Amino acid sequence: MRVGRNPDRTRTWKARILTTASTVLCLSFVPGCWDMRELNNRALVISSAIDMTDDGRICLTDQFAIPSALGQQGAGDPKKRFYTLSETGDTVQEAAQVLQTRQPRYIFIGHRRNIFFGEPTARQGLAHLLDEFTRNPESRLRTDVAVVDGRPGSDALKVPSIVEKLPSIAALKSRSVVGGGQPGSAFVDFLIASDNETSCPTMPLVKIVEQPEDYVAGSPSAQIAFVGRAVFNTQLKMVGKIDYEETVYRFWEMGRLTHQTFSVRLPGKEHSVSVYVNHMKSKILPVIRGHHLYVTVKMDGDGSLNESDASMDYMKPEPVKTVEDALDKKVADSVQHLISRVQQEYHTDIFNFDGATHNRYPFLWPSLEKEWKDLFTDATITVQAHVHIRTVGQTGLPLHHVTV
Amino acid sequence: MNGTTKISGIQMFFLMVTFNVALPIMEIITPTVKQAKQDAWMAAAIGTFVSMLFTYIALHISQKYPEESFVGCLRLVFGKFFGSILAILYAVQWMVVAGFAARQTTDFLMPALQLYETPRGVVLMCIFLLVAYAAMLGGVESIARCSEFLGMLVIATIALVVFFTINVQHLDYLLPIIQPHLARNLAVGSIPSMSFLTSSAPAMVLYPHLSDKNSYRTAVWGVGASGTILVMCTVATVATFGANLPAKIWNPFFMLARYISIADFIQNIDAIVIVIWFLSAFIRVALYAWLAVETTSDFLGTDIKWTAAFVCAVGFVISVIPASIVQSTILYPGWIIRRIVLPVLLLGVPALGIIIAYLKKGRLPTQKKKGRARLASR
Repeated sequence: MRVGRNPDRTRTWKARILTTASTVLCLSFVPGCWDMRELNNRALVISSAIDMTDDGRICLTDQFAIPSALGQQGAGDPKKRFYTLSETGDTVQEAAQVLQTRQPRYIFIGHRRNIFFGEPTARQGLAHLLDEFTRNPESRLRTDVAVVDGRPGSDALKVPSIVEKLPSIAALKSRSVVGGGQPGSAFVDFLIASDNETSCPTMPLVKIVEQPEDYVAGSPSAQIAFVGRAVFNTQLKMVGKIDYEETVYRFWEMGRLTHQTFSVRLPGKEHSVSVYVNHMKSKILPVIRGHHLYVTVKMDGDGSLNESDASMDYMKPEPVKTVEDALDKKVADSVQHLISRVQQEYHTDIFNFDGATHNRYPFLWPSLEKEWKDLFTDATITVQAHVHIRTVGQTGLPLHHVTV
Repeated sequence: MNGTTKISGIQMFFLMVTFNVALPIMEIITPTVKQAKQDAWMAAAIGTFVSMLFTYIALHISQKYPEESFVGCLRLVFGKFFGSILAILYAVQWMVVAGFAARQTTDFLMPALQLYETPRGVVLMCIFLLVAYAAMLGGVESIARCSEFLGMLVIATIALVVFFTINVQHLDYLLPIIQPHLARNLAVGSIPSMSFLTSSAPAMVLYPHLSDKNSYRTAVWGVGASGTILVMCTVATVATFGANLPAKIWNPFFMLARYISIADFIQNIDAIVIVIWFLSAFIRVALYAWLAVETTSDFLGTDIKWTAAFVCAVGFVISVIPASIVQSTILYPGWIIRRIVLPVLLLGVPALGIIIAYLKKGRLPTQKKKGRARLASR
């Protein structure tokens, strides 16, 4: 029996040694010490701003969250939830490296939500500044970008938000709330438009607004407001702006707007109405005849009439028709005006006419592409808009007495 | 060795899916979009179809020699001399491709997980130790069992990424469908997907291990399923990033996973995605290594354990050779795979083989007859 057990025993011992050895080997890899970075040792960048200095260097400003302040229940002081640090360098990463020398924690940009550029910097051109935000593996494409109207980008990072814990989240959210699309999509939209010979990119334009009438406990308040879009040319230099209302029309024209309230003055009367419009759609129909581009833009949406200062009975069809006609005319005229202004002043196709023409004339496109700037500038535009008013609010006639 | 380990039809299906999903999704989209722009999904679909066709052809050859192993099959079809040369070529190619697949995996994985300090060699060594373990002890049975489980996980994860990015996808980026030189762009654009998805020779090696020889079509459907996933991913990527940007991104699908944001709440899930993706990439390395082991040991008659150790050692050495990601991910697939391996080993040999097999054995294969009879009797 003993003789019989021996080979088994040696095999067991062999197996045991092998198991122990491989377990030890495996365990030595488990901790992953090489790249271990504790969350406690990371400084979370929530926003960055890029400005060019007078001597042509890049000034990087990072906004960091203060973790202890974020964890607090209740309000807390909005100004004490974050801090900003600035440094200069020849590249963004060089500036970040210098900045790191003053920042005891490892700078982590994976959660960056917003990048601001000062208007002077944007006018000089962004082509040499953007690479870091796309190439660096830590950086995410899901971020918003914006140009700060008339001021350096770093100013936008010093504006606290009263309601949001992280001030940059406020900027991100408010763009979405006013119908500007998914939060965090502004950068990719910019990149897609800029990677194209014919279409010109735009970026949200923000302004730091201080209203003396506002009341905020303890301090004078300022907010980051969306005031339109900065228009860039194909060299990624900012060439102009369109204001908030024009931005709304442009987004509708491109089929990207989700909802908006439009106010319109009724013809012949000193009365105004406000209509909330959603389900907004648009169609761009380009036609090439000879060497000329004709574009018809058809826009429509569903409206709810929510305010009217006229003594009109909206339980009858005629007043509703009057409002519809007035609104249609206003939208069509405004879009027409916006497009011709951009055609004359900026010569940049920011309306996706190139995409529509490409779709319609795929074989002709390579030759059209080369002279697109001229084609766009000289194009004849027709805009047709129609808002179907579906509901008129809770009342027919105003409940109060209105003297006309 | 043949016939000792068996895999079922469903395992074959998931083996093909897992084998063909991970690395292709990371590597095909970029070159396909570069060539075919907004029609990349069509190019990928064409590539998938061709891959399915040639996988089927290859299996048809095996079916004519159901009792033979891959090497035996080659020798019977092409004659002893040429068959042996082809067997050596396949074995060497699989050793090399196992090394490169491992290297490509770490080239994507390590920057993505921000492993800057971790030595690459250690990661590669871990991969090959595990591959050696799988090839020595379980053989294809363990790899197939693994992929049966991982396959579903990988499909679910990828479907989740595609689904979660619907809110940022603009399908109008896929227009216009017609473009100048469409046919040429589609033909050239389908080469990358063809080179990754065509599993003709691997399917022939696997064929003798099928427990039910009539279920060989599951391999073709496995290639088809992974191709369908690839087409879905291409659509999602182009619809999100447009027809130009993905051509410049190393890894557009991973970029897409990083882009996910649902209601500002579900985001940064790329860490999970990449881990599951890595499991699938590991199956690819393991199966290539096993193919090399199986073919070598069959050809030379060597012990499977020592062959496995040898193949993994060679694979490891090859995986540390490329100097940069450009060599491993652009030059190697571009020059070696697409110009030599794809036309000769993956498409040419099966096409020539089926013709010779028909000439030698006549039209009606015995197995197929049996299969039909069985189906009819039900």
